[in-house]
Amino acid sequence: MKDETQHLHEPTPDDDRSLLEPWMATLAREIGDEVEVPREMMWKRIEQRRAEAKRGGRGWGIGERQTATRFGRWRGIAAIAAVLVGGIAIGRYAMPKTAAPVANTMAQLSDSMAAPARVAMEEHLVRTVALLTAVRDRDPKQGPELDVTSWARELLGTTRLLLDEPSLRDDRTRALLQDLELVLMQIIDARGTSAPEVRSAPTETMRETNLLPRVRAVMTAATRREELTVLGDDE
Amino acid sequence: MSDAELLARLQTSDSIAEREFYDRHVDRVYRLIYRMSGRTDLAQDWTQDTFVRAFERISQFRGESALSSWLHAIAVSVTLNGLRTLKRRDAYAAPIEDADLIGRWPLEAQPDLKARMRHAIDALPEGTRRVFVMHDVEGYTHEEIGEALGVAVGTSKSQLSRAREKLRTALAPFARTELA
Repeated sequence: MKDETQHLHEPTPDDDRSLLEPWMATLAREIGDEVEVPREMMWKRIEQRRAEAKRGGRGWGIGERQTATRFGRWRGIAAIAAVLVGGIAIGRYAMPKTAAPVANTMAQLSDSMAAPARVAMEEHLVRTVALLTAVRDRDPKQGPELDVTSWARELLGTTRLLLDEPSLRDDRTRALLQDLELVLMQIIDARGTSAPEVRSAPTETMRETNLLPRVRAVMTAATRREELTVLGDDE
Repeated sequence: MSDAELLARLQTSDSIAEREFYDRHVDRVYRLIYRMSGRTDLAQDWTQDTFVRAFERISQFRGESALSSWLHAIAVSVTLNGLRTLKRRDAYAAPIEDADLIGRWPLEAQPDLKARMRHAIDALPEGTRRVFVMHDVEGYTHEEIGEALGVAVGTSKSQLSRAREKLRTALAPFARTELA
């Protein structure tokens, strides 16, 4: 192993002609030294995160790859877009105009009117998983890069429509859509750049925001709801 | 325990070695992230991210550099990426009145020379501050900074020069005292 001070170097006149005065440089290096480091609290959280990752985080890679393949790059865009636009339009314009005098009726009506937007979002998330998986599993060393920019741009437009949707304004959904918006923007930005930080930004954000598991959780919840609805119909 | 011994044990997921590794490096990692981000909440989150990632990848580490340098590089990567994420998200989501708080050090009750320096660094434009902290505080070369930030070496040098000039101006009243 090399000497661990290899990164540290004293600035030379070649670096810059206007070296900082030594007392100022020393002062700058001391900033932060007085900050207390919450060692135990951070260690507990690190252990907790690692334990959670061991418990459940690793088993779904293959399934996602199959989803990505099934959907292909562009297949079904027109049909899904139609569902999305229709759902959002119903959710946005019909719900606020409906005013029922009885509270129960109002709640039921709101639920039923919000449903198309909710369905639209779930359809959107299915397509999103396909893209996010493709981006996450992309290996830059293997052949020409899959062009996901147009795909991401399309999904970004829909994501923003959904963000404007009044019936999808609960905190959890908004946070999910905002994180998704950010990742899609980063995917678009990453195209054609060689800067490693920009190229890795989408996958880093996906990891940091735990995006894929969150999207999948919404999809799982939707599936369960559908199952319950079907069971209810049978009765 | 030497670094080599520690590495060997880390690669077998030895929990005692993991805690030893954490204890040895957590202060430096935390303070690096705090200097770069200016926020204790981010320093906490990103320090955790750094160690989680380090433990995930330790099996791939071949000892071609010092363990501390490797960890340091992870911390810088996590921080730079986090700052970029934050910047983009804030551009969309943060209320205007919160904008001034982003990337700022908390105010201290009694401003002294160190506080003045802290605020002067805080007042630097984000890119300039990042280069200054990486070069003059953390000891990175312009080549390393260029690679990490995706900017040209010349850009890194000019930003550093700008940062130093601004700090010199901000601390001019103290300079006379120090020199005297």
